[in-house]
Amino acid sequence: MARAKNKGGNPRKKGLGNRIIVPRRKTSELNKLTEIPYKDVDLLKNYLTERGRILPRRITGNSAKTQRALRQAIKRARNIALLSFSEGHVSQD
Amino acid sequence: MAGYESIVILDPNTTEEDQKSLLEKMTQAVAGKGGSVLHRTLWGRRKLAYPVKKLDYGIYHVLYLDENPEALTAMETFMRYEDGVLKWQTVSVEDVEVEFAKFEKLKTEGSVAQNLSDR
Repeated sequence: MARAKNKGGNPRKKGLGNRIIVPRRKTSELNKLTEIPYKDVDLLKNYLTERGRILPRRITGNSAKTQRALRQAIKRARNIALLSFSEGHVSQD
Repeated sequence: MAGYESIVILDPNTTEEDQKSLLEKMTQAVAGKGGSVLHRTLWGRRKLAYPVKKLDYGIYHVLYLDENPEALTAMETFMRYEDGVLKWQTVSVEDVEVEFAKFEKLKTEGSVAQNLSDR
């Protein structure tokens, strides 16, 4: 019944009963850095999937500006073999 | 002072003297065009994220040059003909000394990821 009541109502009043869930704006600590060091592999690895793909902003909470800088840093690191372009690939030789 | 930051990956199968003389020649190539290598640091033997020339490891060196495009080109031309160089990448930086200090900090203190709380 509660579900039917909330349909089209206040989007903040989602969930069970009278509990009000206020969505928290997701943020990333990376946003605080003034620049993203491309040589810092351990830092960059936090923003990659297991397969080595760049995580989207909606997951990491990076700002647009940070995400651009991060993308640049990851690409630089990949170019100089600090990060792989793709993980889990079996070499033919 | 603005300049360049070059990461150079050397073949780990060459002797240390060979690597040293290679870097020395690179420095001379830069000097020949009026540039100078401000800092030359060894990052160490690292595992490559993917094989390069069928090798799994590489000796990483980081060089800081002053802002002299001709000298950089001379160095890159030199590297292109050297078998001992697996890969390199040059990035222009706003301040060579600041970048050098940051890199030294990264080497000694490790990743800045430790200081970030998320994830």
